[in-house]
Amino acid sequence: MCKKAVTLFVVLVMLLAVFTGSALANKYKFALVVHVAGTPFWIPVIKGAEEAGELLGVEVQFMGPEEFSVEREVDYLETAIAQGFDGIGVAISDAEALDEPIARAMKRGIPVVAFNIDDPYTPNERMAFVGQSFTIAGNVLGRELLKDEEIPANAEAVVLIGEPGNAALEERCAGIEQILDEHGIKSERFSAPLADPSTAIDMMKSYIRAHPNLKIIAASEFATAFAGMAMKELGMEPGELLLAGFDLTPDHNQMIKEGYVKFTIDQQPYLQGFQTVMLLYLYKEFGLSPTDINTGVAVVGKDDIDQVVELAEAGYR
Amino acid sequence: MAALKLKKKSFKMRGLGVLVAVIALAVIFSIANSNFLSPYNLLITVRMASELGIIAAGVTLLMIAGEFDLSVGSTYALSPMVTAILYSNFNVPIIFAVMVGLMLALVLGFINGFITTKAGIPSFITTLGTMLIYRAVVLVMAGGMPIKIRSQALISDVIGGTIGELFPVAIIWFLFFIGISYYILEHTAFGNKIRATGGNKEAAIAAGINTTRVKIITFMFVSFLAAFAGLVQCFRLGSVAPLNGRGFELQAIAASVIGGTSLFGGFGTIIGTALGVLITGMIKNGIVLLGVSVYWQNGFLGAILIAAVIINTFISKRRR
Repeated sequence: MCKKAVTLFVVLVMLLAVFTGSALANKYKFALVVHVAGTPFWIPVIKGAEEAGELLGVEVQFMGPEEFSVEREVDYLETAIAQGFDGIGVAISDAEALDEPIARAMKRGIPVVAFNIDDPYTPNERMAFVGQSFTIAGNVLGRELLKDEEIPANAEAVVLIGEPGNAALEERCAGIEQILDEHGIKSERFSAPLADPSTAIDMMKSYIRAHPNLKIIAASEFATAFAGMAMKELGMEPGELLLAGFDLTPDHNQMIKEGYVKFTIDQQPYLQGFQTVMLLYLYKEFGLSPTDINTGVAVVGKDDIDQVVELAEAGYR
Repeated sequence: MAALKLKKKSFKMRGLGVLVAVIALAVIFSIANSNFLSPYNLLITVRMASELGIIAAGVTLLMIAGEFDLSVGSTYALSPMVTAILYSNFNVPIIFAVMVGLMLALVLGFINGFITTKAGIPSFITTLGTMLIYRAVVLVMAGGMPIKIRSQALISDVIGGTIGELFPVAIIWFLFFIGISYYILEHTAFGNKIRATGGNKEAAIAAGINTTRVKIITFMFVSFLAAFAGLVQCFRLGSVAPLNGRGFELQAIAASVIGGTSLFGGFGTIIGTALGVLITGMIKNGIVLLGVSVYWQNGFLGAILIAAVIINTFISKRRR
C-alpha cells in the first residue's frame, strides 16, 4: 500500500514536471486575463501576444474561464497577482468588479494594461488601453449597413449583444442604436449565447419567425453569423435581411462569403495581443509609460473577405 | 456498537486520504513554482475555495442524509439577485434586502424538501427541476443583465469585504460555516438523526426519527448556505450576474465525494469536504502556476474525483 502510494506520487511529480515547461529562459512573465476564453475570437489575440513574446524573449500566459464569467476572471486576475507575474494585460469586462484587484496589482508594482475592453465608467488604475473605440465603431457599423439600401417604412431592427453588461458590447450597441434612431428605425436588443452556436441559431430562428417586420440584424459581436445560419436554415435568401456585426470568426467569414452578412468590423485582435505585450515589455525594460492604442475599425465585406480569410486561418486576423 | 466503531475508523482513513492528497498537491505545486507557498498566494487559493466551501458544507450534510441538491447554483444567483434588485431598483434598505434574500432561500429549500419527501420522488430529479426553474427566474428578473449593488453600508464589508488590505472576509465565513456544520453533524442529536436517516431510513423511522422533518430542514439549510455564499460573492464584486454559480452543484458534490462523503448516504465528514474544497482551489491556482492551459482545469478535477472515489472505495473494502 505504501509502495503503491510512493510510486503514484513519483509518477505524478514527473507528469507535472513535463507540463511545467521551460519557464527559466525567459526574462519576464506576463499574464493576459480575459472574461471568456472559449470563443474563437481570442485566437489572433493569443497569436499576437505569443509572437510578441517570441520576438522579445518574454513568456506570455493566457487565462480565463471557458464561459463568460466575471467572477472567475477576477479569480484568475488575483491568482496572477499572487504568483509574481511581471505584468498583466486584462480585459475589463466589468467596470466595478475589476477596479480593486487592478489597483492592488498596481500598488504591488505590477503594471496593468487593459485590452479589448476598457473601463470608462469608474476610476481605474490601468495604465493604458489597447483596443477599439467602441461607440464610434458602432456608428460606423450603423452607417455602413444603411448606406445605399432601401429600407421599408415600418422596418424593425434588432441589435444583438451576447454578453450583457460587457462595457465594450454595450457601447457598440449604443453606437449602432444612435444611427438607427437617426433614421427613425425602431430597434430592440436581443441576446444569443456566443459560446453555444446551436442554441444561438435556434434562438435566432425563433426571433426571425416572430418578427415579420424585421429587416435589420446588427450585432455588437459575431452573433450575426448565427443569424445568417438561421436565415439559411429557414430557407431565406442572402440579402433578404441586412446583417452586420463585428469580428472575423470562421462562421462569420463564411456567412459574409455567402452573402448573408453584409460585412463585419474587425478590431484587429492580433494587435490587441501584440501591442499589450509590447507596452508591458517597454515599461518593464525602459520605464516607458504605456499609451492608449486604437487598434482600428476595419470594414470587411464580400469583396475583401477571401484575402482576409486566408490571414484569419493563419491566425492573424 | 462495534459496527459503529468500525465505521468511525474508516471515516478517519478516508479523511486521511484526502489530507494526503492536499499535502501531495501542495508539495508538487511548490516544487513547480516557489510562489505557491507565498502567504499571499495561499490566501488567494483558500479564498477561491471559500464560496464553494460554504455551499459544500451544506451539500455534505444533505448527502449524508441521503439526498442531493442540484439547485444550489441557481439559489446562489437567485437570492443575491433579489437582494440586489430590491436595493438598487427599489431602494429597500440593504439590511432588509439581505434578509429577504436569505428568507427566500429558506423557502426555496423548503420547496425542494417538500416535493422530494411528499411526492416521494428522488431529490436528484426534484432539484434538477428546481435548478432549471430557479435559474429561469433569475434570468427573467435580471433581463439577462448583471445587476449592480454598490453599498457603502457596514453589511457589505461584513459579508464581502477584506480585513486590513488583504485578508478576505470570505475565508472567515467559510471557516464559520464549516465550523457550524461540523458542530451540527458531530455534536448534536440532529446530526445523529441526519446520519441515521441517510444510513438506513426505515431503521431511523422505526427508531422514532421524523426523517421527513430532518430532510426538509437540511434542504433549507443547504439553500441558506448557497444564498449566503452568493451574497459573499455579490458584495465582493459589487454585482450579481444571472449566470453566476452554474456548475457549482456538481463541484460541491465532487468536493464532498473527494472528501470521503458517500453517494449513498450515511457517511461523510465536514473536514473531508473542507479539504476536498481546498483541492479545487489548489487546482484552480495550480493551473495558472504550471502554465497549463486553463481548459485543463475541470479535467484535473475530474481525474482527481475518480481517483479519490477509487481510493476511498478501496479503503472501505479493506476495512471489512
